[in-house]
Amino acid sequence: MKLALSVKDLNLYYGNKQALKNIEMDIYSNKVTAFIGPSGCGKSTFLRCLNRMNDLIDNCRVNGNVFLDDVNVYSGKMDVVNLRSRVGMVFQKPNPFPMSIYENVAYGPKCQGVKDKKILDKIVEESLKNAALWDDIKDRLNDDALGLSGGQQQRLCIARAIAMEPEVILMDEPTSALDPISTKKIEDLIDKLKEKYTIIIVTHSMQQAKRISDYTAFFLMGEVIEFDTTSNIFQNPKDKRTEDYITGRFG
Amino acid sequence: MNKLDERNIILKNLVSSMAKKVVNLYEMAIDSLNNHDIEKALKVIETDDYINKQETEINDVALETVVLYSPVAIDVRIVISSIKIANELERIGDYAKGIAKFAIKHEKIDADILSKINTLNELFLKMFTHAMEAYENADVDWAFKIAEEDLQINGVYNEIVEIIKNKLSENNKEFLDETVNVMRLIKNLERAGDHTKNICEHIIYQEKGQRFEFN
Repeated sequence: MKLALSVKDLNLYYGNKQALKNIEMDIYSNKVTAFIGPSGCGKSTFLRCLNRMNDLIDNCRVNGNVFLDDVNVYSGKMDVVNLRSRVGMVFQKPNPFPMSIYENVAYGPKCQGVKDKKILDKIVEESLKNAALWDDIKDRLNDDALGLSGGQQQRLCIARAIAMEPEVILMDEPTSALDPISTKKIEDLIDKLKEKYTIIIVTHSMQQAKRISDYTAFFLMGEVIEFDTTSNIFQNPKDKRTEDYITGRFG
Repeated sequence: MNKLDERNIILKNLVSSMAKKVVNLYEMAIDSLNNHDIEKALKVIETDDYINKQETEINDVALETVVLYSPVAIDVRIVISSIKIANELERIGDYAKGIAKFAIKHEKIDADILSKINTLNELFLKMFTHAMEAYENADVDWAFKIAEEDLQINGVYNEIVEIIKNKLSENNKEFLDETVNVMRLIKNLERAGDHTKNICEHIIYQEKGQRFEFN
């Protein structure tokens, strides 16, 4: 199976406090990988390492390697702007830009120098279709994005990420602020998106990890305790700590 | 205690209670055979109906546990093995009913064979009791060993088949009529042993998450 990302011996510190310890992980292409674990275990921190979002945090120091197509994400050669277009991100709270629906999706390609209106129109339409939002909003592309419902805003954020044609999409609890129907739409969408992209999702819902992911990593106190197929993790976990967490006997 | 722990205890208690009824069933069945006690044989048939209902109850609790609590890991394996063990118990109960039906229909049974059938029954009950103890204690190592007891059951079964063959070769025509029925009778106990072996496989699956099949 093709690897999308390969993480070798990654350590992360906030000041003197070590938040991630010796993480080793292979993320497979065109699969959904879920990170689960209690609050503060390092799963979101680790997710942000994959496109260097932690660079923006003062006091945060990372050592180790994250390989994207054999190029180390943390090497001097890596252009961070380019990295983030290849490894896109969707956050917990939908965060559309305060502009029209159209402009939200076109913003990234425009920044990359795409000026041709026809090409932009096509990118916007394709991205919104792939994010299962086109049919909802095709008649009001110039409306304010902030007027959309929460679920629609989140799908718009996914469309905005897709518009950059990334290889990997990172999702940090993308449905925790959404109602069950919007959640279902996002989950169905993730299942469809993995045909084209590699998805990595942090979720607090183990039910969600079971429903949508192919692989699951269980984090505890900055370490990956167990990484396996989702089926193995939830049927027959090898580590007692994983079993205690997923069966609700933790702590 | 966590809700799932409570559920697991309920399921395990239901399975154990069903198993106790099965032991009771075999004790009554062999009594009815030894003493040609028709009333007791009828009681076996009645109790078997109750055991069948217990299986349904276990399936209902198991299904409800899945729906309400979405169990995973050891919890889901307990649910699955409860369903499977309840099904084995139901089948084992049916074999006791087979013995009781024989007792109702047949007044006389060859003394040599009856003695061997008693041995067969004792061996089966010993194995079965061991299996249920291993279940209650979640003792995988023991579950592996208990399965070997089935060899003893098969041994006595084969001894009875030999006795039948010898008696037949003596050209004992009267006995010939009984042969088929006696074969059916002892087959009940032989099969009950096989199902007990399956229970051991389910215990291993429940505790280790690994499928194991005894040959």
